Amino acid sequence: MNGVAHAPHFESAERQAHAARLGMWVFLSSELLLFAGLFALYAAGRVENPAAFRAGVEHASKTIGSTNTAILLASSTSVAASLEFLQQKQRRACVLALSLTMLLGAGFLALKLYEYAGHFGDGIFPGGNGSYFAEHPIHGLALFWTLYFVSTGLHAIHVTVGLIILGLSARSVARGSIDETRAYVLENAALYWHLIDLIWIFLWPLYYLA
Amino acid sequence: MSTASSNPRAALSRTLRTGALLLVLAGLSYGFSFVEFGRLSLVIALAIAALKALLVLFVFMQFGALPASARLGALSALFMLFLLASLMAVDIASRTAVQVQEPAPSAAEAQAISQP
Amino acid sequence: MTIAAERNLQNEVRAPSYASVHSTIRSWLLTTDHKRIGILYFVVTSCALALGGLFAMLMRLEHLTPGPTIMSALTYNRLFTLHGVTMVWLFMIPSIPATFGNFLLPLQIGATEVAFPRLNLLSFWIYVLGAAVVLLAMWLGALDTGWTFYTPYSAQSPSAVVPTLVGIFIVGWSTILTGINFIVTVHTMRARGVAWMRMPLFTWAIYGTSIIQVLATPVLGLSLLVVMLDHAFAWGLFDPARGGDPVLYQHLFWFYSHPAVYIMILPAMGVVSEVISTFAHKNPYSYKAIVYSTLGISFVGFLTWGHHMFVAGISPFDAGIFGVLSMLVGIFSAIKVFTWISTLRQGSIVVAAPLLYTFGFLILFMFGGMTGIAVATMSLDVHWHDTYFVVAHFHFIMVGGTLTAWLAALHYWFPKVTGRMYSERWASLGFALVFSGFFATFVPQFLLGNAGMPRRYYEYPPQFQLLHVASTLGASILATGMLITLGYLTYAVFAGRRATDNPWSSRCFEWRTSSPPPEKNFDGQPDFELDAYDYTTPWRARGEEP
Repeated sequence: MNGVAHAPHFESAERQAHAARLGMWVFLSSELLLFAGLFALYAAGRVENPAAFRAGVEHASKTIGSTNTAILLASSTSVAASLEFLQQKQRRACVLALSLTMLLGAGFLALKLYEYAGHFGDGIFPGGNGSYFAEHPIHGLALFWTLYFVSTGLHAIHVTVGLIILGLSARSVARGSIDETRAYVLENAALYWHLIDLIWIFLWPLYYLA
Repeated sequence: MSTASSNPRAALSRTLRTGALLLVLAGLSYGFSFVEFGRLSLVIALAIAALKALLVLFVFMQFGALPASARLGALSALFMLFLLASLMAVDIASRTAVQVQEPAPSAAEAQAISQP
Repeated sequence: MTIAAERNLQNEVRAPSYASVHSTIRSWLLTTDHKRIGILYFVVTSCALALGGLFAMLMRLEHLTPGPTIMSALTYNRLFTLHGVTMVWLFMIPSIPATFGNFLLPLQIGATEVAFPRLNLLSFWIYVLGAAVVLLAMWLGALDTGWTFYTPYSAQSPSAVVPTLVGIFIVGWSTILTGINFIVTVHTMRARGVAWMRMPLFTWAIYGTSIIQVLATPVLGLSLLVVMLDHAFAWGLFDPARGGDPVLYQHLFWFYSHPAVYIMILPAMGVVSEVISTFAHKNPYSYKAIVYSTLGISFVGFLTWGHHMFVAGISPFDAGIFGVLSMLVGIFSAIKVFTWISTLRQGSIVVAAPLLYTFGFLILFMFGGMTGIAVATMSLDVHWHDTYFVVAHFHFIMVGGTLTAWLAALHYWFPKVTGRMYSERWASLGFALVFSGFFATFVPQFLLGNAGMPRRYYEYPPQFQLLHVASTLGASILATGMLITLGYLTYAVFAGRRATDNPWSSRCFEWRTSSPPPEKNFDGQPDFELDAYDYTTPWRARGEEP
């Protein structure tokens, strides 16, 4: 990559790209460990209260959750495609693919909020508060739902952050400040988005399917 | 670092095909969730999830193209997650109910209890 | 230094040092120079050390008498909590990595900068923000849960739990970002000729530490988050009535906090490796043993957290697993100690303050480590858990180990950072007071704990008073030693005599440039052809005595 601009303390643009990529993967490892505790609490909670957790899954909004899964999988596809487009210098297609990704992400959030509203309507609130728990006095059901709200809530915050990152990236691509020589910037944004998808891939079966 | 910059159509096609496969797997998982597998339900659902995760990891995130040290690092993170979850679950699972036998009160204690 | 050498030094035309090249306050506070960032961290973490030390002295004064002495029980509970919080997160964790690590890592690998200099600056300010929030929480009344924030009390305590946890959560992000920076720096910024197995051992130590920082700290973040939710909204994630279990919080907390103690000790071990080789003028007995045991500690340190919970109500089966795993991690520390001793053997030893502190480290770390293996034995821990025995054990490691190594590093790299020398005479006095004071503070605590004195107790039975008074006396001596150290080192920063570039005649890579270094670390390409620990090949650096 001769002649490509790079930060002065790096030997070359190649080295800088490599460092940025490596840094992102280390950061993703940290993010994975952030969710680890929630998965661990689920595992312990499920061992402690198997009937309650199964009951919780049964009442979960499977349709909404599954639609959201499809949305996120599609969005991972579109962000991966946007990278391909950038590599081929197809700037407009890249921005379009990124916009589609953001649209899907926003859709995910909208559905999530709708879903939460549904839960609240049913009398399911975090902390075992709400009329639902009085009607269904299964020991441990409160834990299931609180963990559900904390896990999906934390995930939704990450989706929001991801949307912002994608938005900034799309703007940079449209302006030309990210091009195929600086593809690693978009790559890193995409990696973050894929992690969000990966987390959901596992939240979905735990809270909606089984 | 594109894996197929020489053949852009193939790379894009691969991306889209992987996306389609992911949706199929999700559909499969959704379908299985209606069948009564009992305890196996969760195992099956998580197994399909693992498959999807591998696809995202290797095709979209190009995990295989990373240097070995980076892959080792990411795998360590995953290992730590399993370690935490399993030892916490094992703790709960291996708890046994302990019968506490209150020792019979001595004569003096019994008298003290009956005369507050 | 001879008069001729000194004159040569003054006449030489050198690039301006990193410290003098820009001199506005803005150039310091908004610097992206890793050396300046290291110094910024040093100033703030030293203030944290002083604050934590003040809390400790107040507690020790309270313990002069069995009953109330100078404060209420509530104040005492807040003090031991704050002492822990301040010392662990505001001092110990960044004490060596963020200060010496920042300053030396690029120098030791021949780089001009860390991989992400602006992220480095951001990490510093995030740390400052977190520390400020913790201070604000203190001002809002502090908290009395102990630095471990166990549920259910942390969810119920009517004290400033949430602000404190928010502050620590923020500080945690600084740790993670610094860890990412250092890992990527070591992977991508090594100069030509610096292969992995040629890197200085301090760099390896920082690398191993950074791995732990990156993997463990997020779990702390989550633990704090759930406690905040429990405290603020009573969501009861650990409430048995709602299906939870308070012990699960302890699992989450200690999953971070046990590896955290390795964040505190690995850099200290790195310092010891450097000082021993330099002052024995000998290469390490086995470079590979140190490297592999460093990585071993980084990894195996994650497997042992349950030994903090032997009597908390986890299953005996789970406890047994953790007991066995806890023994494993001691093996790596033992390998290091044997390697260090073997390195000293038949070396050409020169004694100066860095080596004095390192001798102190070897003795105290060994005793601390052995008592660690002892408390990792479940059947023994049943007796010692939550007593002063455990308190003495971890202070032997943290103060006798990390703080001692921090003091060694301070003296060892003082000429590198400032270009000046401190007074050996004052340093010897400081060392004598710190070492003897430490001993007098904490050996009585082993005896207290073994005799049954519980930790975190405000009052105690009168038969323990003698040992408590002895411990407080020791603490006063320790504090005096620390203040004296602060005094002569501050003096030396401004008025110490000028040092040569390599006063210790060390071969290690950071000494291959001037002291203090120029802004870009090296004048041209660094000369790393000679190994960092090769003391057999004749070689003389700039400014070294013939």
